[in-house]
Amino acid sequence: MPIVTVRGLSRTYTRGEHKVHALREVDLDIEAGEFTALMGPSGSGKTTLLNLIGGLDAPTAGSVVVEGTDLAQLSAGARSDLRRERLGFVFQAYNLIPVLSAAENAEFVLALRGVPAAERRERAHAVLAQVGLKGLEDRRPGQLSGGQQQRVAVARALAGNPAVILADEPTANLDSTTGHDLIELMRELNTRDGATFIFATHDPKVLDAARRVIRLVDGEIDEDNRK
Amino acid sequence: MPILLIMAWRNLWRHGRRSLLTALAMALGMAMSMSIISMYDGMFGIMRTLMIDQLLGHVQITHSAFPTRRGLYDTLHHADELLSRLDALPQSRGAVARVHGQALLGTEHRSAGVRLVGVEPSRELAVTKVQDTVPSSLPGGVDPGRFLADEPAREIVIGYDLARDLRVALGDELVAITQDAYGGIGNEVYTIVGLTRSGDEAMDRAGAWLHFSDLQALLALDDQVHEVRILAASDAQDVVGGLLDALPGALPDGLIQDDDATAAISPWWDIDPMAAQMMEMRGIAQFMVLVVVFGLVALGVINTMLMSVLERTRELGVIKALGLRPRGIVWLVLYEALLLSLLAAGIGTLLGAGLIAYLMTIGIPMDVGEGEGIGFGGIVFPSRLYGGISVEAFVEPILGVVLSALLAALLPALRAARLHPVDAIRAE
Amino acid sequence: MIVPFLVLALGMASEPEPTVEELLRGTDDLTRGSQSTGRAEMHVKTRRYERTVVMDMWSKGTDRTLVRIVSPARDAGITTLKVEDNLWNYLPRTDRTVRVPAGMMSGSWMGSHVTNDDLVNDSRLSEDYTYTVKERPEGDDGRWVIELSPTESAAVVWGKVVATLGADRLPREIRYYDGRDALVRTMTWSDVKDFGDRRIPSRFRVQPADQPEEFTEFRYLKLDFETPVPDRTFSLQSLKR
Ligand SMILES: Nc1ncnc2c1ncn2[C@@H]1O[C@H](COP(=O)(O)OP(=O)(O)OP(=O)(O)O)[C@@H](O)[C@H]1O
Ligand SMILES: [Mg+2]
Repeated sequence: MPIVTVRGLSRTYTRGEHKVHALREVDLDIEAGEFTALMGPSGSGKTTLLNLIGGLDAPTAGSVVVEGTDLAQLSAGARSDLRRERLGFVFQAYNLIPVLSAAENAEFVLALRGVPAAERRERAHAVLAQVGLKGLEDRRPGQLSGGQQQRVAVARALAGNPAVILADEPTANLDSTTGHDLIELMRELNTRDGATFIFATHDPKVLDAARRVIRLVDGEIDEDNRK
Repeated sequence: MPILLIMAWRNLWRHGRRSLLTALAMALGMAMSMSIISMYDGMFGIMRTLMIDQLLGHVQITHSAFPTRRGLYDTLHHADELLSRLDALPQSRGAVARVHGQALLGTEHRSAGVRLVGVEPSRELAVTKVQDTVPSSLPGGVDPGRFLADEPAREIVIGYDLARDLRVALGDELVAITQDAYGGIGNEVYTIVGLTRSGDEAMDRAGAWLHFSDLQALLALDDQVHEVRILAASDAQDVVGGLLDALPGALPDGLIQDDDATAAISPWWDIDPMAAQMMEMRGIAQFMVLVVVFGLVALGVINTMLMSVLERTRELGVIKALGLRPRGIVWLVLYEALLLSLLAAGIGTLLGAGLIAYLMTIGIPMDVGEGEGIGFGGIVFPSRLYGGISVEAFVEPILGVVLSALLAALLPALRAARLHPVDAIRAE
Repeated sequence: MIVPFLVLALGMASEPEPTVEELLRGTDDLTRGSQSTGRAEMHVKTRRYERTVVMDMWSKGTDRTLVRIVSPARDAGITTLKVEDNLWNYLPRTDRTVRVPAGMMSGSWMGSHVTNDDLVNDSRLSEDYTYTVKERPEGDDGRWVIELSPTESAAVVWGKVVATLGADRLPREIRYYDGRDALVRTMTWSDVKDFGDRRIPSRFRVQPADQPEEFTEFRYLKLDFETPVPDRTFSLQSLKR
């Protein structure tokens, strides 16, 4: 069974009298362990799709089912719970909570889940080591480079052992080498630990790393290639 | 420590100067309200001493007709027995018996209708503060003398203002003439030994104190008295209430010898509802001050917290996206306000304690001439008012600052909780 | 006290048929120039107390009276002087002479049921009231009943006064009514005795209507119309003896 099932998913924004069809009847299945890149020109609906899968936005039509749970059936609070318990997020920028250290950021979701302090601290150190930030646990985001910050964001997403990690242009604010390194890291986590990733990107270089590439054009799936 | 609390505390110091300034403003409001409460403590302390200790007592026992008629014959018998029973009550600090009369008091040349109050000085000393009605000094270096001696010696203590009206001084003799209990003309000569300036305008202008044996003799009252007043062990409502409950059982037989009368047990708020109202005004006035001061504090907090929430829209969006429920967001903001208010409470307590110390030792001059202070509702305050100290003066402003901050933060907190994560993250 | 007592007691002219005016007013004329010295006992009973006061008294005409308390000890020496409408009390204990102020005139005299006003005003009974005879005696039988109503101008406290005299023209009773015709008090005379060559009632009682158990009763112990009473007896100086 796929981890994420998307059926007939549409999202229409109304700007005055003007209607923007950000997504048009998208069908999509994401299997566990997949490493999926969402490509497509600006405005093609990548962010919209990720937000809908993450339960951050509600569709105009269609359904999103995550691990057998139809998001449309959930209250706002329950969707919060689902995100906290089952999903990981990496955003484009301003990802981290500036007043928390790298380790605290990494354990944030665990803290929200009520995991005991010692256990989550251990886990935070472990994931930070996984993303190559050993020794930087106590730094605040302001004391880390952009690439390091995104690694912390990945570590945070990873820490809770989510079903899927959704990443919206995680490399957009990074220079190309750093961006590349981050994608490599995510790829490595995917192959080694079996973490499922869906990420939106413009970066053609990233394509090499992706095992599945979905290309969106005008809110529709134009291509869907598995390598 | 919960992660939200840690975040709130660190958020506070993200704009350390702004937080400190806000906390300082809150602390100033707090110190101000502490000073005002301290002054209220001082002023209402004077009023309380005067009204309860000197004027009314907590509870008065009288003939049922005495409170309205104040008749010569509306007396109590066996007052000694009653007093010793009252002394034994745990809710009572002590009791005194008093005789009341009206007389023409004066010299060959001048006289005035005067209220006479007969007291037993040794008993009053231990219970009421009637001895304090003779001040330690009077304006213009006039010697105030002393209160009555313990044994009856045809001494009289009269109001300072009455003494001026009658043009008499310490050591002068005054004649009192009145109708006695047998319809005869009671008359006697008394020597002035003291002048009162108690703040009780009625007694200061037209009142005189006598030893109660002397007044009984003048009125031919034998050993009857008009009033037994009791001071409760404390002002607390439950103590006074307990005293009221215990009193009916403590009355000796034959206390009232009129067939058509009973003993009246009257708490001070029934005897002088105006005084009771005045004491209650304190609560209202104090509440108003707190409302105004902390209303302003709340405005400051709303402003600071709104700014703090607006600045962090994107961050709050991320936190929401990560799965913190709206209620958690509310707590995050409230914790921040709580910590801010605790900080303010700390500074404010130190500041307020300093001000209270000043008010208690140096006070505020309130002289309206002739060494007299402001008059209010039949009470004349001293010419320098001092602050008092009470648990309330600390607890109420601390509660005020914390509660007003939390209340004020509720609006920004709800606003933050309602943020839509997608919009918030996109926001510039 | 003394005044209605004396005025009416001395009003026993013995003309065959007096006019009503003579009956009342003639008393004034008769007493004018008359004098008396005496001792009386006043017994007062009220709801509150009961006591007996012994007093010496001197009078001259209807205008001047001096009363000095002999006992009880507490009040002994207190002296009341009445000259026309004025009343003074002398208090030996404090050596004070106090004029009874207008406001106190309706107050009790020495705790009795007689007011200060009674001492002063009853001498003008015949001036302040108009009268009608309700009953007159037939020979030696029956009695005089005379009703007095205040004249328009009179500043008096009573709405109506009804006096009863015997055929012997000695007073028996006076009833005082208020403005609403309710009985306020009753004065009665009894125990007619000879004092020298005069026959007068020796007992006089005041009974308030609303306090049936209360009363004031006077009794002459001695009464002497012969001993000269000098005018200076009735001066403020002589108050202090
Ligand atoms: N809140 C919104 N209100 C109105 N229109 C919106 C809103 N969010 C997105 N859109 C519109 O929906 C369409 C899809 O936007 P989306 O952000 O999903 O594109 P994208 O593929 O992520 O683009 P980019 O590569 O620039 O991030 C665009 O035309 C965009 O303008
Ligand atoms: Mg996008």
